[in-house]
Amino acid sequence: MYAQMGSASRGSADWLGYGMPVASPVVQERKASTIADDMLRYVEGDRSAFDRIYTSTAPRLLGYLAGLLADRAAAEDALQQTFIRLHDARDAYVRGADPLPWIFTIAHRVALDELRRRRRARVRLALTDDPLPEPHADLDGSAAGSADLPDERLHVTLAALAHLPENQRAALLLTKLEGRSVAEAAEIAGTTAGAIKLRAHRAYITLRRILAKESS
Amino acid sequence: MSLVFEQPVPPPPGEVLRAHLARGGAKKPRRPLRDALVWSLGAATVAVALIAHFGVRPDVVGVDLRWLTLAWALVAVGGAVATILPRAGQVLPSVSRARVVTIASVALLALVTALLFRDSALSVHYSGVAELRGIVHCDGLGVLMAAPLVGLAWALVIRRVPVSAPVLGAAMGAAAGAVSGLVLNTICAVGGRTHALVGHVGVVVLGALLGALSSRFSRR
Repeated sequence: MYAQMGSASRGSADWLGYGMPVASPVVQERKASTIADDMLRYVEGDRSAFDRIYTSTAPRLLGYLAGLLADRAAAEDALQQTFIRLHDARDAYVRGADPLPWIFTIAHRVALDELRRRRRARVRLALTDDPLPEPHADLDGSAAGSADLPDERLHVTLAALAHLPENQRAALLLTKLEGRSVAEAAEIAGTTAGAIKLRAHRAYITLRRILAKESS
Repeated sequence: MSLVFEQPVPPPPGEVLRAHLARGGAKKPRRPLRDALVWSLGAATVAVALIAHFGVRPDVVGVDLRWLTLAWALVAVGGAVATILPRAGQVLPSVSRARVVTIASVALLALVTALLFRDSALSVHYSGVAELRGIVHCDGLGVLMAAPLVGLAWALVIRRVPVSAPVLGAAMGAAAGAVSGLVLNTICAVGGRTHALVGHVGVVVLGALLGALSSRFSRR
């Protein structure tokens, strides 16, 4: 599920006591200028530039969306939707600007729409007398799709992440996993820097508690 | 204990995305500085046209409007420019800055009006229900005058923003309301600080609400 892709250029930040990769500032700056050049070419009609943008940003976006939606298939759909919206909004691009926070903002909005749609669907289900369907399971009884996780602890962390409220999850993913600054994360999530700090801190505390309980 | 999240391998662009890409042609990137200039010129044109249409207030000889007008114009244009221009290296206008602009516009204009508003013996003074009617009239007229500038702001900025467009809409609406309030200060001969604060500064608040409402039609 989580394969080696672009991880060689990523540094390591330690949150929750685990080595979690984030891009170093120098790498981020170099990548930003390259993506900015490609974005300008794409806006001006160069299709191959879109392919380069997709190749360089889609893994990070998919990681973010998978973390936020806690569902790989939904994250893949949201990724496609993100690029469709990016295409529609490409004339909003500003020459020389780093398109990554903007693309993350679009992805964030797509994920929120999906979460809202799910909540509505859950309400509709709850209004009927039919019992909720059982989650799919593999032959050994584990949740379907969990077998390809490389590590049990990763599975536990992802499961713990899914227990967080979506705004805390977004704050944690953006600041700790994506390596975005608090100000950038605030702009992406459409909130204040203070709120992002608070949400990330609360998420961190909750995750630590869940993981400590799991390990004990 | 070590745990490393590797980036997932994304699927290639799907058929729907590819079909979507095939439909699009070349576009020009957005130019925020030009957008700010267009809005400011639009605001100046609307203000001059409205003042020319309604005429300057009859008690203007006894009232020095220069500082009040200058302060309102600075807040209107400064607020709009600060909202439209993104931070260095960013694509989208800053939401946090827009939030500050909205609150600061209302607070500054209320303060400036409380300090600088003057009336003269030629000014009209109402009290009771008549005063309330005068305030409602100015607020209503002010919102109507702000509407074209909110529309211009929507076309230039608000419709393009995918997140927190209501905040940006409110900031641009407050700027449009400030232009409208400036016109009201110039054409309205009703005296009294209460009328100026509720009837004229109130338009800035109503403009902000109108701008936030216009964001419902923005690109999501």
